[in-house]
Amino acid sequence: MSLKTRAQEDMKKALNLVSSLEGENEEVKNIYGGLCHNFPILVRQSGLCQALAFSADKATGDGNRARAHQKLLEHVAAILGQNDALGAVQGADAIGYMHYTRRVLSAWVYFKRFAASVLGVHTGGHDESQQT
Amino acid sequence: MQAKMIFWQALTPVHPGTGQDSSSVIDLPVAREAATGFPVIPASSLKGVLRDGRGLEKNDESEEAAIARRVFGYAGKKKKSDSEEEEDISQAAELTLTDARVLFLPVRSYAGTFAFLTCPLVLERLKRDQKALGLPELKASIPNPGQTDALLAQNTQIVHGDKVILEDIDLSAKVGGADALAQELGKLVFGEEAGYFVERFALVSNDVFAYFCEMGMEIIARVRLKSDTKTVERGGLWYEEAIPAETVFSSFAIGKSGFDEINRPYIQIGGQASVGRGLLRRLGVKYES
Amino acid sequence: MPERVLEIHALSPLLFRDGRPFSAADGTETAARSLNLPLPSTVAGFVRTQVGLAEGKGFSQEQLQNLHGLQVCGPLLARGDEVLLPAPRDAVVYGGADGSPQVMKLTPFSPPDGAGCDLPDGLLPLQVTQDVKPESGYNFWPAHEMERWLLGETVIPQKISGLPTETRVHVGMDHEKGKAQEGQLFSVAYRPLEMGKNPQTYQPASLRVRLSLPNGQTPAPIGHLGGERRPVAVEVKPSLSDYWFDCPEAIKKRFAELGKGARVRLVLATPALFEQGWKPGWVEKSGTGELHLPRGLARVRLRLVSAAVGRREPVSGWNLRQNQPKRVRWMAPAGSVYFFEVEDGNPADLLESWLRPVSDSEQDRKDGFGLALWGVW
Repeated sequence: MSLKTRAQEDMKKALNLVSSLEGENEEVKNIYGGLCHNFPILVRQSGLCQALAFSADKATGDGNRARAHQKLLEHVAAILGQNDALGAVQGADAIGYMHYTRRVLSAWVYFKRFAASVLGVHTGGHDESQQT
Repeated sequence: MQAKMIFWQALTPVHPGTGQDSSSVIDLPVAREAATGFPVIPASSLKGVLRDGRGLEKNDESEEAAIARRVFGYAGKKKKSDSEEEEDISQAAELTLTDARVLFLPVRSYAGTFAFLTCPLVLERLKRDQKALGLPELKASIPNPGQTDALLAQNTQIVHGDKVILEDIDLSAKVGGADALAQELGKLVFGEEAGYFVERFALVSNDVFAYFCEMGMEIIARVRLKSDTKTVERGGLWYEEAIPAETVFSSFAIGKSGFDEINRPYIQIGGQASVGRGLLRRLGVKYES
Repeated sequence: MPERVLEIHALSPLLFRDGRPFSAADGTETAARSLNLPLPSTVAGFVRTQVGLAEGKGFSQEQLQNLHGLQVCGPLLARGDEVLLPAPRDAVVYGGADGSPQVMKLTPFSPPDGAGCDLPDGLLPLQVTQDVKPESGYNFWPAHEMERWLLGETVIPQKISGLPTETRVHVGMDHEKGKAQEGQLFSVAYRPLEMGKNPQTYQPASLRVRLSLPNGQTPAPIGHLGGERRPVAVEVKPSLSDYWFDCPEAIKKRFAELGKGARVRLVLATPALFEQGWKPGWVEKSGTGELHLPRGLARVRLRLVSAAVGRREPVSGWNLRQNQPKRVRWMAPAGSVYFFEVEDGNPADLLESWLRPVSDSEQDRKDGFGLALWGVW
C-alpha cells in the first residue's frame, strides 16, 4: 500500500458515484450529467448554500428531474462525508462553510469529467437534444 | 539600477489567461501564482502591452524602434546593409517588470456595496520586496486578524451590526483594528481618493483572503450562436473567470531607464478587449530608490 | 578576505533552463522546462556580475579574468530560515504497510562467494533490503535531518518536493490585427522562490551562496538571474554561521574519533563535474600530497567502495567572452553518494571540504560544482 492523495480519493469516489447512474434511464442520466456541469458554476456564482437549496427544491416529488437532483444531493453529501449535505452546510460556521465549498469544488472537477466520459454529457447547455 | 513601485486598478474585469485547460471547474480560469493561489497578471503581459509591438520588425530603423529595443530588449539578427552577412542585433532589456500581484481584492459587502480585502501575507510579501529593492517599507504594523475577523478603519462603511458580511461569509467586525494601516495604504495607493478606499478597507486572515481569491472571481458565461438559427452551437457554451473590476495590483519596474514607458493613464491587458475587458488605470508611480 | 553569505530573493518567478533547445517556431520543442535549482555556474556568474557592477570598473578582459577567479560556493536552497539540501540518493522513501512513509537505507554489500556483478574496479553493489516502489516528492531534506542521516541514523524525512512550478503560456501578438500570431505559442515553466500551495503552507524561499568578498565589498543589490532576465535582489547576511550549514559539532566529534579503516560517505550538495564522469578523478590521487586537489583530500587516502549516483545531467551555457555556446559536459547530480574506506591519514581532515567544492578542475570548483557533505556508514 502506498500514500494516496486527496485528489486520488476524490477521483475514485467521483468515478464510482457517476458510474452508479449508468443503470438509470436516459433522461435522468442526461439531466444529472448536465447538473454535473452547471452545479459548480451555480456554487461559484451564488454560493454553496444557494446551490444546494436550489437542488433540494427541485428534488422534491417524483419524476426524472427530481431523481437527478436527489442523486446530486446524495453525491455532494458523499464528498463531504455527511448524510445530509444541505443540513451540514447550513449548520457550518464560516470556516466550515469555506471548507465545504472548497471540498465540493475541488472534487467536482472529476464529476464534470466523468459526466462527459461515462455518461456522455458534454456540456450543461440544452443543446444535447440536437446531437446528430 | 532604479526601482519603482506601481499600482494598477482594474476598471473592468481582467482575464489574464493560463492558455491551457486546468483542474478548475471553470473552462477558462485566470492565471494564479503557484505558491499562493492568488490571481496574478504575468509580467510578460504587462511588458507586451507597454511595448505595443514597437521595434519588433528587424528592418525598422526608426528612432522609436531603437528606443523600444533598448528599453524592452530584442532578440534577432539582421542582414548587414553592405553585405550578405548577418549581424546579431540582440540586446537585453533595460527595463524589467515584475508580475502584478493582487493587493486589494473587491468583494461584495452587505453594507457599503463592496469591501477592499487584503491579508497579512499579501502585505508581508509587498514589504519583503520593498526591502529587497531598497524602497521605503510600509510603516504601519500589520496586525494579525483572527481567522474570522475583519480589521477595519475607524470610519468604516462596511459594518452591519457587528459583522462584515461578504457574499455568504460573515466576519466579526473590529472597527479601528487596522486604522493606521488603512490610512497609510490609502495615501500610498490612492492619494487624494484615499477616502473611498479607507472606508471599505478590511484586513482579513490569509485563509479568508485565499477563499475569496478562489471563489470571488467573476464568472462570465459565454455562448457561441449558430448564425442561422440563433441557437447555441453544440459545445458552444463555456465559462470564463475574470479578476473583478476595482481590484488593485502592485508591481515593480526595475532598470536603468525607460520608466517613461510606464507613465500611461491606462492600459488594456489580456483578451476580449473588444468587449471592454482588461482595462487598468495606473494609480501612481510611487517612491524611487 | 572575509567570507560572507549572500541571500538571493526573487521578485518574480525565475527560469532555470535545462539546456534543451526550445523556440516558438513551428515543429520544434515549444516548452521551456526549468531545473529544480539553478546550476552552480549560473549563480556564480550572477554573483560575479553583481560584484563587478559594484566595483564599477566595467567588464574589461582583465576585470573579467579577476571576477572569473572569484570562488563562489552554492547555491543552497533555504525555506524561511532553514537550509534545504538535495535528498541523498542512498535513502529510498517508500509507503509502508500502514501507508506511512518508511526509509530504506542503501549500503554497500559483498555478494556471497560465486555471485558477482558487472560494476567496475571491484566496486560493491548497494543492497536493496525491501522490494518497494519509491515515493516521489521527497526531493529536499532539511539540514538537521541531513545531519542525522550523515551520522548513520535512520531518518524519515519531511516531504519537501522543492520549488513549485508555474507554467505560463506565452503568445506572440500581432500588433496590427490585435490577435495572436500563428505559430507563436510557447510555454515556459517558471520557479517562484516561494514554497507551498496556499497561504496556510506558504513559506518564502531564497538561494544562498558563500564567497569571499574582495575588500568586504557589497555586490550590486538588484540584478537578473537565469533565463528571461528575471529580477532578483541580493542581500549580504551579517553572520556566516546563522545562514550557512556549517559542519555540525556532532559530525566533527564523530570524525575526530575515526582512524584508519574508517568508513566515510560523501554526499554532493550541488552537482559535481568529475574527469571520469560519475567518478571523482581525485580518488586515486587522494592522500598523495599532490597539489590542486580539493581541500583535505591531499592528506587522506580514500578507497572508493561503492556509489549511489543519479542519472547524469548536462551542463552547457553561453560563453559571453567568446560569444559561442559552451560544450556540453555531464554532471554527477546533486544528492549522489560515494562510500569510501579511509586507507591512510586523519579522516577529520576531510571536513575541510565541508560544503566546499570537490569537483576535479579548479575552475569548476570556483563555480561551486560539487559541494561536499561528509558522513559515516
